[in-house]
Amino acid sequence: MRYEFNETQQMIQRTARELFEQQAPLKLVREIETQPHGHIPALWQQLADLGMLGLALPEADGGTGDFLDLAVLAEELGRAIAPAPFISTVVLGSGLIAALGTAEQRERLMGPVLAGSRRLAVALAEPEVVENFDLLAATIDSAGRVSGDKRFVEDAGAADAFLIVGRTDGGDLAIVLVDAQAPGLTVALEPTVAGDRLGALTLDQAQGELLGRPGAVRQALGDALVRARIAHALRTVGMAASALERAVDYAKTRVQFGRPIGTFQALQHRLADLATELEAARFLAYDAAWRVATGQPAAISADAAFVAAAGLGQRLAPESAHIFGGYGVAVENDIQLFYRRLRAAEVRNGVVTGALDRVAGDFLAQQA
Amino acid sequence: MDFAFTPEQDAFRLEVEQFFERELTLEVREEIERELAQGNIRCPLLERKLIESGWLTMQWPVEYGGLGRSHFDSAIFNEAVGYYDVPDGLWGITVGLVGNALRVFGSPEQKEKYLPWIASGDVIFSQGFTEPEAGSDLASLQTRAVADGDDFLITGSKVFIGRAHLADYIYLATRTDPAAPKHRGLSLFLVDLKTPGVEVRPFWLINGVRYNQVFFDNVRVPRSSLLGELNRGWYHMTTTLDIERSGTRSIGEHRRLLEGLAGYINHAKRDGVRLADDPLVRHTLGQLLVDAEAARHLSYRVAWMQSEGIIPNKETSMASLWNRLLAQRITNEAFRILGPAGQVKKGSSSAVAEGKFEYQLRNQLNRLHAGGTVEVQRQVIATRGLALPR
Repeated sequence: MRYEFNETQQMIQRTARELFEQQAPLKLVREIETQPHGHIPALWQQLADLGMLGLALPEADGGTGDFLDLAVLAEELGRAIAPAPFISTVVLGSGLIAALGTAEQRERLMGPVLAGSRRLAVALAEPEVVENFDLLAATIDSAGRVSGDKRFVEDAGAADAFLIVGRTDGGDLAIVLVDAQAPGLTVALEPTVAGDRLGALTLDQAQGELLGRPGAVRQALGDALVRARIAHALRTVGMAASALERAVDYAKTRVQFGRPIGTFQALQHRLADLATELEAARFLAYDAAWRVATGQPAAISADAAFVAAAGLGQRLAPESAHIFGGYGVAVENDIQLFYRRLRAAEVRNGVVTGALDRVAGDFLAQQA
Repeated sequence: MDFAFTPEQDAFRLEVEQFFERELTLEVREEIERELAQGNIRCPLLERKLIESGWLTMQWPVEYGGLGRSHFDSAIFNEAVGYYDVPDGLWGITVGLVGNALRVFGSPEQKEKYLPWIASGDVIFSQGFTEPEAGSDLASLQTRAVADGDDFLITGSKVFIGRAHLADYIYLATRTDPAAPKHRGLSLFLVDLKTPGVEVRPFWLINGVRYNQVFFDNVRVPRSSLLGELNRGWYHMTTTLDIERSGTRSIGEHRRLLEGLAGYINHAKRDGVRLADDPLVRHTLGQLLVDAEAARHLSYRVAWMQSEGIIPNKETSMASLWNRLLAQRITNEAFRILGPAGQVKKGSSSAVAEGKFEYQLRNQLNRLHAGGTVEVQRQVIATRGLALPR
């Protein structure tokens, strides 16, 4: 048991933190909010050069490290709110190609992704479906043509290709890789509270490349979503840690009534509660990541981590902003950058009600 | 980051669980009920077995009657104590507080006299700190100990004293120098409760447990009963109070209550709807389970730190704060789920979940103040953890 990083994890944390300080200062983060592509090319290339885009991927595909290493990076991505399509491309995109692709596909497709020249996004949700795959309306035929409407696609503006999840005539889940420029694919970018854009995709017989045999997709997709949920929880924890630090620093220096506002008990107690909730969420997320890294079942832990991270959006985010009083909602203040992203995090890569239902269902079944 | 227990730790956990499964016989459970009916949380039958196991003093060095086991093993043991709802008759105050205090600042004579007694379970101590006018502001306590030749004369009163009616001694905090700043004039004594001038009166709590008021009227105690240095009592107290807060017992308690709640949910039907199918019930239970898993981490992090020789500070307060607030939430939410049956006391046919949650309604508020209020813990996190200015 060890409630701290080992040497490798410390090194990844240090390297990532320095990288983001240099390549993703908040001034640039703000600028990127106005850019539809929504990421920083120079940063992405540096991540590739450092091997970070291969984290937790199979060695045979050029990957290194384990899921805990990826977890550390995810947390740092959050701390810096660095705009990078990491979860979409590495955890989901590459993860699915590695799990489902033929040897030929993996050889051809993974290289450019790890080299930083090709970014991916995964289109799963639809207007009426977020978690129940059996209700997906998008159809994929045996030749790899896909039709349907997909929604809430993270990093759509940065993606060179999309992994579209749909169902075959027979009702099996299928995944097809479609180039962003493919005829029959229209991508509308929808601005969000977080300052990024989610893709709303319209597909009309767009031609893609099938990934995996019909029977294998469900398990692989489930596993990839669990890992994405965990990486997302860690990123959220990182964002929350930055937000809280800023709030605490402000409370130490902002003087009203002749004393720092951090001396007032109401604020001290609120910040103490938030700091505790943050620690709780952090360990739930790392526990889930540890389970993945050690080959243990991780789905329920991922759900628990997600719920705790979403809780940070609901409480820590607004309360951290509120410590700044009026400045908490001022564009020129950095805290609002974290607040808006923490809110969006509550509803990405998971649904709280679904997660709670699964956690409860699992326990009730054990106790039956 | 690694959250695995070692095979030895898993084996110890299993050993402890098997011990309680075996020893919580009908006879033992009946004794627990009988004692509780008299207001006592204790079970002499079980305590005897625990003394024999050596686990109550497991962390003490072998020369003091201990097993030399780690903080971590103690944490594993405490989790089981919480899960099996083992009455804490002896080890909280007698072993945990007084025993450890003696080891840290007792005189050689005091260690020789009391430690073997404590290890063999032949003496009971109660804790005499709180006064009617000194709760959170403990350092303002007023019970006086005045030097008189080779003795001290003690006058004053204490309140919220558990087990004083069962105990042999009281571990007493007094003021020996009223002229000094309040933290610097306190001294600790081990006072024989049979000494003339001591009066113990019941102070009942709504959870059915008997606490006491203890009055001291010119109680004469020998100088040898002074524990630690004269006027250094506050610093001794705050040292030992740090050792007391482990937190894993709560983890076991949470799990026991959640299993009880799940058991009810799995079988209950109300107005035609199976509770297990009700989304609101499932979501509520789900959130409690998430919070309980988080609690497990916050507590074991403290255990891990102590096992590494790292002194936990804000971490102990965070675990304690979270556990205490979670205990409130578990009872509050369970009570809502149980509906009208939840208010019925154990023993009636309408009672559900063995009346656990009715009992918790009368018991859980203690968690907000016992051993220090949650507000004080928030202060510690804020000032020592986040370095917010005082």
